[in-house]
Amino acid sequence: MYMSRVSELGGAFRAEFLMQIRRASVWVTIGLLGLIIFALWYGFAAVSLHPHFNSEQHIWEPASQSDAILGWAQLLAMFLPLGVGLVLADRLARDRRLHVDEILATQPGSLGARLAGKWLGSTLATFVPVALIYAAVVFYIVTQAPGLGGLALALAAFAAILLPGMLFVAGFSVAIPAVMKTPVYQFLFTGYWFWANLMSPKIGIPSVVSTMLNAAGPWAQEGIFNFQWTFLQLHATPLQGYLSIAVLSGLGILAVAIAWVYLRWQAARQ
Amino acid sequence: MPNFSIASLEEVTYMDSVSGLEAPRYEARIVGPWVFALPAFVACLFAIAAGMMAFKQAQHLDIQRLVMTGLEGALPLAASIGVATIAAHEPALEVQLSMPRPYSHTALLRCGMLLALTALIEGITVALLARVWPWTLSQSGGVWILAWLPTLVWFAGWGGLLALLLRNRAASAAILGVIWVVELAFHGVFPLYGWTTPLYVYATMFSPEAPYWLLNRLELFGTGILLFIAIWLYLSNPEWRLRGEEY
Repeated sequence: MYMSRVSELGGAFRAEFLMQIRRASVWVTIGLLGLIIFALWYGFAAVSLHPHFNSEQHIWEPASQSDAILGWAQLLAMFLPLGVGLVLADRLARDRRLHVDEILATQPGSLGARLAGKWLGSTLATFVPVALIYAAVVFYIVTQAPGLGGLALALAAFAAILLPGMLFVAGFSVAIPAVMKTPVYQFLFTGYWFWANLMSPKIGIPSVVSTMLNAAGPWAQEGIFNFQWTFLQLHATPLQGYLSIAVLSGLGILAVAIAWVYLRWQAARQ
Repeated sequence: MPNFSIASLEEVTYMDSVSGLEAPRYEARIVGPWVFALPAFVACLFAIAAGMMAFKQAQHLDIQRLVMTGLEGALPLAASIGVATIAAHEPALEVQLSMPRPYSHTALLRCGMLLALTALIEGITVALLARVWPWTLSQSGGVWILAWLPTLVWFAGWGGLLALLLRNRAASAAILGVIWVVELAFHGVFPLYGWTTPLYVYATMFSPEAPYWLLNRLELFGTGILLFIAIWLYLSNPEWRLRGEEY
């Protein structure tokens, strides 16, 4: 029984991964968004690669490979998970539109294993272009400010700052279109992303931006890497940084689990 | 495998024999009423949020920013997602392409209906605000049409063209959604460079008195019109359109 579930999950994972990674639109979209974010990084953070004058503190600062890498991870985490989430939002809708879900429902495999395989497969496939773009700019940084220590830092920053936020949005983007039209979700998710992650607390609208629900990685960035996030001063400890990673990843898994319960209930009604 | 049904075939076949005011009604049925309900839904969301902020006695500037985000950014984004859906998704494409009426006319009629509805909602909202909360509008009179119409046409044009070129409406929404958020978060950067000013969507919200404001509006509007011409050219080529949607 257990082996059968693992085998079903593996099959669903393989199919979804291959399908997603072969979609040209995923590569073009993530590539284009990577280019926009690289332009922002080049304008704001690439200055760290060379000695420069800090106009806020009125001091000369030396070149810093770590600032350049963490600045790159920060900008990617601010915007790219939104693109990843929006690209993944049509996965369940695709099955419904092509009636694949009805065909799969007649098969002996479990819905839970299929849904988990879909989430993991499509999410990991979407991470591939993200990781390549991230690695390309890290390589550029290492060539400009040499030091192999930067590679380990870049790997840790990817895992701690970028990955949890993307797992979080991927979980919700695979799950929520089960209960609403994909374009409606896409609009709401875009608004949510700005409201929950990027809206300054100075604006008089209540928001979760300074809580651990912020998926753009401020807690991990400040707590683990001691690198201040753009407009928040959280005074986060390393423990809070690790906790934020667990919260975001856990909520992504929870979203898929809730979608599984809902879809099972829906199938039982038919 | 396209999602093709007898109902859609009947509607498309019937569409060819109807005219006048009946046509838009049937087009709305084929596209799906929820696409046309999306702008109204967005307007309601922002109206509720602004009402709650007023109830909580938030600062006028914050309420003004929220209202402007809705008018200048959110409604155009919703329209762009709708146009992307209309442009990329056609369950009865082969039948549409065999009809005497060119498919490009049908698709653009649907886009036009959605844009007209969104423009109507924008117009009514501005008129209501001018009466109830005039302080939320930093300009007055007919100039206000330039606050939302250029961004509406710009977003909708990009939404449709990206959906056709990428053959995927989710990808189109992803690109425009991130641009929408980047422009909000980095609104101070766009007026700084000559090449970014024509891309500055929130010029009315953040710099209504700037000398480049009118030029920015005209550039956005002109770009939007060019994008719709590109959509029309793409849809007029059956070979390109038959490549279908990438699932």
